[in-house]
Amino acid sequence: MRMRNRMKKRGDLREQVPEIIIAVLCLILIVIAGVMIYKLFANQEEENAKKTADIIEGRINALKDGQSNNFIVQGFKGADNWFLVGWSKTEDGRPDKCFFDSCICICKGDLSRLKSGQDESLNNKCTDLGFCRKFSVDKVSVEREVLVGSLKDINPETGQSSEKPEKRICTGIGLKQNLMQISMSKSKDEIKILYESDEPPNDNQACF
Amino acid sequence: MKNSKKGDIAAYQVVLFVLAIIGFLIVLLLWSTFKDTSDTSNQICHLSVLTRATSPQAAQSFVPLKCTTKKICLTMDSSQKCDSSFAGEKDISVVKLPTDTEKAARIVEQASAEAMYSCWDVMGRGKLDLFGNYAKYSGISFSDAALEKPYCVICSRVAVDDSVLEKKSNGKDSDILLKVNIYDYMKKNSPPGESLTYLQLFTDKQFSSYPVIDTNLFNEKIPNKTTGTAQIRFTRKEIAYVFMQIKSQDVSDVLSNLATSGAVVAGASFLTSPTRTAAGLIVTGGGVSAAIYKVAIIAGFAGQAAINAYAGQVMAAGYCGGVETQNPEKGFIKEIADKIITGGVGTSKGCSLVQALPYNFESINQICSVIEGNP
Repeated sequence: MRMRNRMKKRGDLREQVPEIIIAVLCLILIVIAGVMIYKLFANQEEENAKKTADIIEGRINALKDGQSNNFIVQGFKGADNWFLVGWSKTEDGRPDKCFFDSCICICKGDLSRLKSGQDESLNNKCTDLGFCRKFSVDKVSVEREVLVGSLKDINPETGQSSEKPEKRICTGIGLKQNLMQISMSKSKDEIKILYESDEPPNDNQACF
Repeated sequence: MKNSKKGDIAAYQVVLFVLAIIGFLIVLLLWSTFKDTSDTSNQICHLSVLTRATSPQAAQSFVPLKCTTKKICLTMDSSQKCDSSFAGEKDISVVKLPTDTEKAARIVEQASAEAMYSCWDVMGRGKLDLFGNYAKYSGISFSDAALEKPYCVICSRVAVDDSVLEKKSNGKDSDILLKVNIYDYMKKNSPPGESLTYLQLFTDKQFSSYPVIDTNLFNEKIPNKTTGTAQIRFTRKEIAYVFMQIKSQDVSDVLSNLATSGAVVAGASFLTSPTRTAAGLIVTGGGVSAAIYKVAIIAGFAGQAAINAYAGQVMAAGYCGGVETQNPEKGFIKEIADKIITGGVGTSKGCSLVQALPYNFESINQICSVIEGNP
């Protein structure tokens, strides 16, 4: 009797197998649909930041040694919460993501609010949320040139004075929500990215 | 008897199982087939546009526009893919031009007209309010200034490869681009699947030809709300098709200004005039009123006459009028609700337009404060 019951139970279970498989397949489809819908509506900002990092990496790789060029970075909604920063191979304070290479990262954070002596805070921001791309060159610099005022330049021969713009170079480039033009140069040992900013620097920022 | 029943069940189960597997495979196949095609990306974009426009006001800021900028490369040599514009970028649609100049010019016209119309169609043909409510709930200030520069979507970038510009005839610049006449193409041809021409579609079916253009138009001061001449530096061999919306109380003024400037104005729709010179019109917003800028295009590289002729056809097509929005018909303090809905401008009227612009930061940043969608 017990044996027959056991056999009957096993038979019942076998009858359920197709339904279970169909249910599992349906669940997989629902999960796929869910992921697609989630991707459709969420994380747009992060996806765009990641895509921007990919485009910058592609641009750098497309440059040959000794070449330089200007290129456009297309902004996106929320881009002003992200910044571009780079670390050389031997530089301290690099994010772990860079391992032993030079790297360029797009990280979440407002660059203008970061304090000076900021290697650590930049690193922290990139560790929290950042997309890094590694490069085999020894040195990487990602900087912006800001206009801080004008300097009086006196010609010693004529004694005439003229004004020339006073510029400072600051670490990192804050992204914009529209377009920005960035100049890029590449040599065997170094990658340089420079942005001529029209915004004045924050007192706290690391500029020199 | 028992055996037969067992057999029936087994056969039924096997059939069900096989059907389920086949169904699953079909779904996966369809998904992988359509995943990356441009048609699907258009549909995803259109879906996100509809979702945002029909979402409750407070939810609109959570609905991103999933519109990815298309990259179209016009080239004569399929091994060259507009490297000066798209180096390092992915998903580039390469349009190979034939050596026959006339045929090549028609293909350039087709690609340009298609890019413009596709942008207009996907973004809701100007009938949906995509940015007004969104701007408010995204934390942008409540004043008119918030909408001084509109939000934009760059639908596509059309780049001209050096191989096209290098093709010279009799020592002159590339005559492919000199033979391009997008307006004429739009007058005579229809988008795929449509019975009306591009011109009729842009002008609400009312026009089948352009008005005669006063060639002195650009030498004269454009009256009324024109805010001067904008100089556009054409430093790259690339045009962007940009969609934007301007909230404006004075929609009729905008339309009359456009008409004065030689645009085709049909009811609430318009298409700026064709010009074969290196100058054109840009329509943009300025707080509560839209304005028309006279544009001078300056190029500074080899092949500039050709690229000027192409860019000289800088054009805008659009619609000015009411925009569909989630406006509560009745409710408490409707006036305030209206103001919130309309972005503080106090109107649910505005102009939507798709416009061809040189793809550089000087030109596009003059008009767009925020670019939505994906790069």
